[in-house]
Amino acid sequence: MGRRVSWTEYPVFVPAGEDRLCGVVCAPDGAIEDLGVVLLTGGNYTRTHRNRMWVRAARELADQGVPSIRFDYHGVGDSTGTVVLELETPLAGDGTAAADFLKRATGVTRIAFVATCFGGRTAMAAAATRDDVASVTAFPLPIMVPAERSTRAPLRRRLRRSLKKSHLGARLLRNPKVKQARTKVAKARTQPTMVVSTRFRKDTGLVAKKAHVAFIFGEQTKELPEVRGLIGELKQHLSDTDLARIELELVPGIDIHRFQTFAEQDIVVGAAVASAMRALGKQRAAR
Amino acid sequence: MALDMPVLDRQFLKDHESHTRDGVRETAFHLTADDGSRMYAMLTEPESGPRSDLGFVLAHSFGLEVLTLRRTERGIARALAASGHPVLSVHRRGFGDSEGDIAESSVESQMQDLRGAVSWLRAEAGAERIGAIGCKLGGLFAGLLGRELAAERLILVQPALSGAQYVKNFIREMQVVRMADPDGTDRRSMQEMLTDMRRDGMLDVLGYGLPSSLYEGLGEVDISTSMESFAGDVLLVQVAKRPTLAREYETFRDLIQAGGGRCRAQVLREPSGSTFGSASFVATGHDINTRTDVMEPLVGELGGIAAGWVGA
Repeated sequence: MGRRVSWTEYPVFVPAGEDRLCGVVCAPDGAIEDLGVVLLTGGNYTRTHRNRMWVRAARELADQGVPSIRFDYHGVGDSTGTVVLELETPLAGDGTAAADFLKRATGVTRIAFVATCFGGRTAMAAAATRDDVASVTAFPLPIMVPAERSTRAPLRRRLRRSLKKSHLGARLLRNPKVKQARTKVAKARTQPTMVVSTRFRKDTGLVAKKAHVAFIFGEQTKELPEVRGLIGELKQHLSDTDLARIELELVPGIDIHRFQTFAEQDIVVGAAVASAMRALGKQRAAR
Repeated sequence: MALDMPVLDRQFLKDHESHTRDGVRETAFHLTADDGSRMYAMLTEPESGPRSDLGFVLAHSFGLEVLTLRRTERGIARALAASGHPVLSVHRRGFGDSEGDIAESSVESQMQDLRGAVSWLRAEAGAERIGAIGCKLGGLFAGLLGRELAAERLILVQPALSGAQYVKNFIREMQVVRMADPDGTDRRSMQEMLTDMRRDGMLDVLGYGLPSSLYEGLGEVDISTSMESFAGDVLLVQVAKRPTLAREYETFRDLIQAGGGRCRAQVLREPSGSTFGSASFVATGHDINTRTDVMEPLVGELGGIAAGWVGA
């Protein structure tokens, strides 16, 4: 095995409010480019990501002169605290803390976020509030939420309530045949309509006003129509210049989603490095 | 211009390599392996107060379980540290944040890494007596280490007793996933996959590399039949849906006791919605966009059991 590398890794605990996020800063041994990369997972995986994808990405980035940080969210892996992962409450504070720490530790002034799954929500939310972001690169991520409903109870519920108030109505509701009919109707009821998260659309729009946004999806990724829908909606809100900063990159023939093959993992690692190189205006060196 | 170039602040990084919470200090650092590779390590120790000379080395599992079981391992380590025991967790070469390549990993190379952790614990953390901890395949490695070093204590959580059985199940999981795969392009039999692994030197098992050298090596290790000489204390915890101890664990407990060792077996029920070693953040309600760590109560319980057993 032996050690023949051009980078050094520093295990750290990043302050994030009351919590400490366990992470690893990977820095080139030589000159440092003015860009740091924050690598984010979906939450169920710890900082290395599946089969050490983020370890590979970090070391390849460092080979190109780019430092990075990978870390566990609070409540995950070696970090302190507890967490409930809620799609509409991304862990922007953790992303921000990691980015600030990386800047302080390495002296870089610009940040690129690279994220998978729920990490993409966190990356976009953190990036939206910063003015030092060069790019956000997101692999397939959940962006759909149930459409907000009226606060008024649906007609069927109001009807049931009023029926319950009368003796006859209450008896009617207790009738087995009525019960069966109601169950049948309930089963046939369609699932709530899903729409693109307003929060995510807003965050993406804010980032696109100042930085490059790349969605890297497989041609067969289930969520592909959803991200296309997002971009379509953003056309109504963004200028052509801002829209041009949003890119949807399709990888032919696969579904980049669970990273369950080496081939998928190679694509993700390669794209993570390429996104940093693009932010630096350079090509990824051949390996 | 040169003044504007980013410069690494090593002292700042050094200042953040450890933290203390609830009387327990965690310090992350690197151990150097025999070949010069750096291995990621985490020392969990009491911040102050009485310190035991019984220290533990924690061995991680394999594949996705290196990630998903870490919260459990951390919980046990912190509970033991709160009781005065230093615990050293190490990522073996080719795993986690360590250097090295899984393709070059074998049972022996992983044992070397664990021996290195034991040496460090003895030299740097004042551990004169050694214990080992492991969940799933980590339990097998902890058992092997414990047997080799005549360790005083072993904490084995849902351990793999047979390396052959573990890797077989590991590959089978891929077969199940691939069977359900809509594209249906990979329907190889176990035999075909093993042939491919031997030809290529490595099998891609759902994105995790299983080197043929490791596969063969694990096929030869089995602590269900080779621990008769172990005379220390074992805490064996089964974490599963079944409420009674599995037959293989009963046999293992009897083997330890027949050899003069002591074994306390305990059964913990897995929470619904997840299995020990798989993703622990799951949707427990109607809202699939909200996921809670269903293993969290179990982690607390395990820590309490381990600390109570060591202190008894």
